[in-house]
Amino acid sequence: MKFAIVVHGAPYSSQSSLSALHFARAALASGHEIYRVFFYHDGVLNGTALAAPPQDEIDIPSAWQALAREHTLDLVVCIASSLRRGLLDETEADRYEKPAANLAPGFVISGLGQLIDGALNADRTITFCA
Amino acid sequence: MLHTVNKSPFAGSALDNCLAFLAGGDEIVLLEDGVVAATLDIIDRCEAPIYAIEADVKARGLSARLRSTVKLIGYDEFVNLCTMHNSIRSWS
Repeated sequence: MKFAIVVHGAPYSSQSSLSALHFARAALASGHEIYRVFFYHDGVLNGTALAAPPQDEIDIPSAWQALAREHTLDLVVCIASSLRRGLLDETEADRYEKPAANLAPGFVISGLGQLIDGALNADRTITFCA
Repeated sequence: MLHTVNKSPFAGSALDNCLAFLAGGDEIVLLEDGVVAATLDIIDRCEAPIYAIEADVKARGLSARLRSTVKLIGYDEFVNLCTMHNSIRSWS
């Protein structure tokens, strides 16, 4: 079965991203497919390449990147949410003349259409609220 | 429909809204702070099957106060419940 997972919470601000991560791992382990993970509102902060949490704590942004590498996941951050929160890829950093890009490898910036597409093409859509 | 509740009933109306919306055949998964509801007798009056994420119950030290109507599950069972319902509604 194909799942779309929607994450609304920032890492370390709510349990949302960690719950979504546990759910994604369990779904993959059970042989299901993850069609897309869509990060919305504060959830886009899961896509930062610059998080440096203490070494004895879970590194949630890195955990998403590792999962994406292992299972070729489509990790999409909402562009409107991202730009407001200072999460930029190279293209957006150039477009808005910002000094740096900070979107982590494995994530892409895209629009709300990708959320709709996920809901339409996945068998199930589950949202992890902040 | 599968409902998820991730907020404590003392912190908002997520559980109340969920219970008001329930229809026949629905089931409820309590996760994160939502597992606090698993210790309250309001849960006993609910006709829908209620599950709680075991790790979240343990993390909050609520295991001993769990109502007998609540079934503890892991994420693999959570995923399985999602496959058994056509849609999933998250109350927060």
